[in-house]
Amino acid sequence: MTAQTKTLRELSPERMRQFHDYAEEYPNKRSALMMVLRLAEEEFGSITDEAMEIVAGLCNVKVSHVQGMVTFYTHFKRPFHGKHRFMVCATLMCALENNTDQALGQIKAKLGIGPGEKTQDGLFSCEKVECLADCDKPPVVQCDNEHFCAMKGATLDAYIDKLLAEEGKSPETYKGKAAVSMDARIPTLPVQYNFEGETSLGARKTDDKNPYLKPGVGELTTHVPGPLATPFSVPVADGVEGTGRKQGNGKNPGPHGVKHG
Amino acid sequence: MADDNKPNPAGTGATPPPGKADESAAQKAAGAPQPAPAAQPAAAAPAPPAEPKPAVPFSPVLLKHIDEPGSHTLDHYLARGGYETARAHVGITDPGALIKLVDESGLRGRGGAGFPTGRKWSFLAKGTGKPIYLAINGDQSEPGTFKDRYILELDPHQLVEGAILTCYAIGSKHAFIYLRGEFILGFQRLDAAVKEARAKGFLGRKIFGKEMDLTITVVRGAGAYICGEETGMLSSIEGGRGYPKIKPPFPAVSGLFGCPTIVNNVETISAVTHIVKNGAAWHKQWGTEKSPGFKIFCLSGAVKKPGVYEVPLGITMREMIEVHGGGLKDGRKLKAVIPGGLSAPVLTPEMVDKCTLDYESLAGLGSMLGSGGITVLDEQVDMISAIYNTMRFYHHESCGQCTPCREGTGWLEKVSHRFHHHEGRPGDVDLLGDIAKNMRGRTICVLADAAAMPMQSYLQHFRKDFEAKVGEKAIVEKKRTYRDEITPAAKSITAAGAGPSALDVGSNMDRG
Amino acid sequence: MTKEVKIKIDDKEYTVPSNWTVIKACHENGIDVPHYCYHPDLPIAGNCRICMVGVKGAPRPVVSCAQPITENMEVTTKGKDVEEARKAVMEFLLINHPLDCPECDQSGECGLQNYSYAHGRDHGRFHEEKVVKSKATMGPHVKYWGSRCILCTRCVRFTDEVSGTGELGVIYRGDKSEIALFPGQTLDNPLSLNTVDICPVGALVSSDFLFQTRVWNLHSRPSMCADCAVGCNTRVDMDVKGAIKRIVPRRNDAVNKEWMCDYGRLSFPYVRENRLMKPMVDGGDAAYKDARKAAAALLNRPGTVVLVSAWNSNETFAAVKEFAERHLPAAGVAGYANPGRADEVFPGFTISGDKNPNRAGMREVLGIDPDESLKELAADKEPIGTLLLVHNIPGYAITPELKAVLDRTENVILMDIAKSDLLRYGNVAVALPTLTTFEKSGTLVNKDGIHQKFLPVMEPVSFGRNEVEMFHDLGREISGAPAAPGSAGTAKAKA
Repeated sequence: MTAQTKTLRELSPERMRQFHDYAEEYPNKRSALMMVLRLAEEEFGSITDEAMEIVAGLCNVKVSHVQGMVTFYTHFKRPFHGKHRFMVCATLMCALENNTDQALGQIKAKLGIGPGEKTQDGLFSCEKVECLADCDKPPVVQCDNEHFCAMKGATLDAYIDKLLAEEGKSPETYKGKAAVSMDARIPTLPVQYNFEGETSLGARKTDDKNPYLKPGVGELTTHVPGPLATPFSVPVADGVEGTGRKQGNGKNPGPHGVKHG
Repeated sequence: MADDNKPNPAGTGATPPPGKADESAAQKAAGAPQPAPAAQPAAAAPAPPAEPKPAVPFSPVLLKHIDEPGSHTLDHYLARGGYETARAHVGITDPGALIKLVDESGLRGRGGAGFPTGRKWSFLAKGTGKPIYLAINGDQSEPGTFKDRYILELDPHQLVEGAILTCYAIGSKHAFIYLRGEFILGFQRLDAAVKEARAKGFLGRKIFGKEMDLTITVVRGAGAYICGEETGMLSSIEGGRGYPKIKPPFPAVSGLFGCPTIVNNVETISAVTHIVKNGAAWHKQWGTEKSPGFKIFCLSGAVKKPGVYEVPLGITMREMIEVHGGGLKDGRKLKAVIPGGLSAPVLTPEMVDKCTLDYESLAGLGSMLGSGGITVLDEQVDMISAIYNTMRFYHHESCGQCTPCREGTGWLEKVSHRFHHHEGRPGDVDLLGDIAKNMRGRTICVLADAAAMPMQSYLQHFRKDFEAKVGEKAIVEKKRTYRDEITPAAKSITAAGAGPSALDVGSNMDRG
Repeated sequence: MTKEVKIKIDDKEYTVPSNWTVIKACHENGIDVPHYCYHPDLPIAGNCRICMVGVKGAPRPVVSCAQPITENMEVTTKGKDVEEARKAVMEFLLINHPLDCPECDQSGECGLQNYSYAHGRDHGRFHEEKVVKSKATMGPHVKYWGSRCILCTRCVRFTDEVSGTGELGVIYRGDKSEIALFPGQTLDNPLSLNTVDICPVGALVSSDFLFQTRVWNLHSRPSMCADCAVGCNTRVDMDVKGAIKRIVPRRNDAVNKEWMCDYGRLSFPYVRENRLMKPMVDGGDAAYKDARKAAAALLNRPGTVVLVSAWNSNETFAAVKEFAERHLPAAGVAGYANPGRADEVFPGFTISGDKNPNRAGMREVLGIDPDESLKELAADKEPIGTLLLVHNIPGYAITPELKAVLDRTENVILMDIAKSDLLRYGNVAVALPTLTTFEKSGTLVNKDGIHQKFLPVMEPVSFGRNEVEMFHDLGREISGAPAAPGSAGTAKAKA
């Protein structure tokens, strides 16, 4: 477990006040996690790694626990989502009569992104989500903490235009931008922790792993005794080296770079 | 099918106005269907064998005021006698008497399981020395159900008052109301309502001037259907991944933070307010003997007037579809009805004719009343696509804790996916049935059953549709995989072997 | 005092404590109930669902790991219901599991292999794409193959409850769930290799043991770890040539439960590397009898001190005591210890900072506290003629106190296992090779006073002798008694 020595940003004073309110209200700080994560989501715009570390520190839990929560719950905004995150319900009641497809099609036509993609400039992303609890008015869409029902046709077009205008983009020239897939996996673990490229898998390195072997010690034994014949050591004659085959001169490593056995 | 301790994994669902003859101010988007004048009891469908009860006229109770401007505010609520019931009972009535009252009223859990509420309250472990909690389930993630939205956004104070009464009855000082993360306006309104109530001394220390403290905490979820399952919700409130807990011990014995906890749906607790106000006999005026009272149903699908309808239990399904829903639109023919949210086994038109909207009738037909989300499927709906969509939903929402559900939902989706693309293999139909059977009853919570039951019911009633999509070769030559459906941009990433994108979890970009 | 209740398992009556779960009651009575996520030392998860058993009165099989015992409960671990449930769960476990057996380390000791063979289907029905997950190096000693993971979460519960370090967590949801670290963290706590032990499949693998050998080519012997004062019970796995391939813990509820620290697991290369192979006299190899003579001559003088380390067994201490009393009445006996550090305390395990396995034994048999004794000896200014140094500590750095003693010694007779700094110090007249704890037997007393006996697991690598034997031989040399029968030609190790 690595000690966290870097200094982390704090939440804004108002949000810290809100955090302290939660800490008072909830039976323990850990149970306030869902709400504190929302504070961090507001503060940072999305739940970044830094946000997770801060929340873990505030609520006195391990950061791996927070990461587990953030990846479990799909509604939290993450850095790989676009600034404007379109969530289109794709469950049965909205999928009937092609309502979902219509909404997705319009988003694709105007923004160039399909489900699971975001625009290259990171402004818009589109996802299929599950039932948003408004099934009598399909298709249902949520974006930017707003909930829309019967979101298709002119209404959806107008909304997208509005967002484009907010971002200073023109609806005519914006469509057709190359889309990128949102890689929702946790940000790549540092390279040394991924052994895809390691060449010497299985090598038993005896120098640094063995805390008892000091540098500058002598040569390896060349004597390899045979299998244990009896539970107790077999008497060996004076001056005789003992049984077993010799295993080279110690300079020939075994099949996997292992120096003994 | 309404098993006592198998709550419907989702919360509830809510939608707009019951049979009221005015425009709904709650409609946000254009083009939504307008409600029709009040429903007439006469129905053209053949009368089902329901218990003959003198029909007492019913007008909405929970949804009565949602069309009035400002219905969510405290002033509006106080003006109609709000919090008077709480004032009259808190610190005055014997809590046990309140539990008995609710028990006598026959109120059953409105979240899906239909477990008698008063009986659940009486299971509370007493004398443990631990605090008692009330956890109100506003997760409402069961597809097809959208009723709780209306209570939360348009009349939340009845829920708050219900929570006060319930906490007083069970001896709780802290109630949690868990709302799904996607209820943004609902959270704002409910949070404001709680603050208003606190400002007035209805919550906090010594409420109503009596020796009772009560805190209501509103917790926001974040997009997990499994957090509608009662113990999944408890795990989420405790601050963790929404993993359901093993039962026994049941929440009434050991729930939130290991303390005795009562879990009830938003609609149930809201109904408690009115039951305590008007009495058990009032509640039993409507409904059937075993399913008394009224419920909010959510009608969706191919009807002329989808929406929320608060009706007495026991009316016929035909009445709901034809009278309230206005019948199928465009003169289409009925193919199937999903009566209680996506996890309810499907009903064929013949079964619909025999169906009344109460727990027993639906259980007798092999289905369940569930959360009351009624989806009407017309002849245009391809049942295989429907089951594929359903399986995809459960695969996406499985928490992954226990083996049969985690792996089984994925397997069901993958086989359904092939059927959806006309590439079923011989033996697959039986395989689907076997997978579903193997998942049931072997998991920590009932999500696996919720996934398996629709599959089994579709196989039972629409087997021909499956068989029509079985290909001739044993293993189809062109191996259609998910990768083919991923958009081109993502294809390069997967080709590089980057492994699965967890967006498969978050957004199903590659499913049809 | 927990109440005991009568229950029936498979129609046989048993009496068990009432606070047990059904699975514990079965296991303690020798009934094998298959399990993955259950572990006696970890909190109950109940998520693998393979441990299902039938209980009379329950409509369907229940998971035995979470089912408390009740009076007169009737449990069936066999029968159609139970077998079908197990078969179904087994099938679900295997559908996304990769066909890695040919290259997976766990093959041969794999929970999936074993229970699949006993309780699973004989053919697969899953002909879809399998879920593929990532591979990662979790830490310096542990590697992770995500696709093999069955999400029993034993490793997560271990890092949460036993090591308390919480590095591992489950990410994502459903069948995409994986075990992961937070970016920037590693699984580098000194108990990390226990996660490899408890992983029922080959998802977590020891980097040290990776691809070394197939487990069915290993033979095992029980032993104990002598690297610190805890004295974890171990099982040493060796290949056909007798080389140690890995060391894993053995269960001993009084000492180490079923855990062991990484230091003890990985230190065994000292058994083969850099051993003192033959007796030496004045820097050159010599025959044992010459070395004995030289040593005896040096010892039989005034100004002799016998200095034993706290790594020696009780038998060695007893032999030293007897040797000194009988043959060197004028010699002083002192003790010293491998310098230690602070204990590493984890919620479920403590790694002792005392890096000597037998400090307590020295106090018990010789009545000496090693640190005080060495300090006293170092403070003394009198020159030492002969120092009989019974060392036997692998990887020891000469402390200032010992250096002070060595500096005023004329001749050192060294009994050691390796060619260490002590051998090169300059004044070693006679060096006698000894055996490691893997090659001899003895008794060690741990920090809680528990006496534990270890037996040899392998043939001696060097020409070494058990010190007990050597002291007898030296004694005979000094007293002029005839060589014991066989001490020239054969030597019998006395336990």
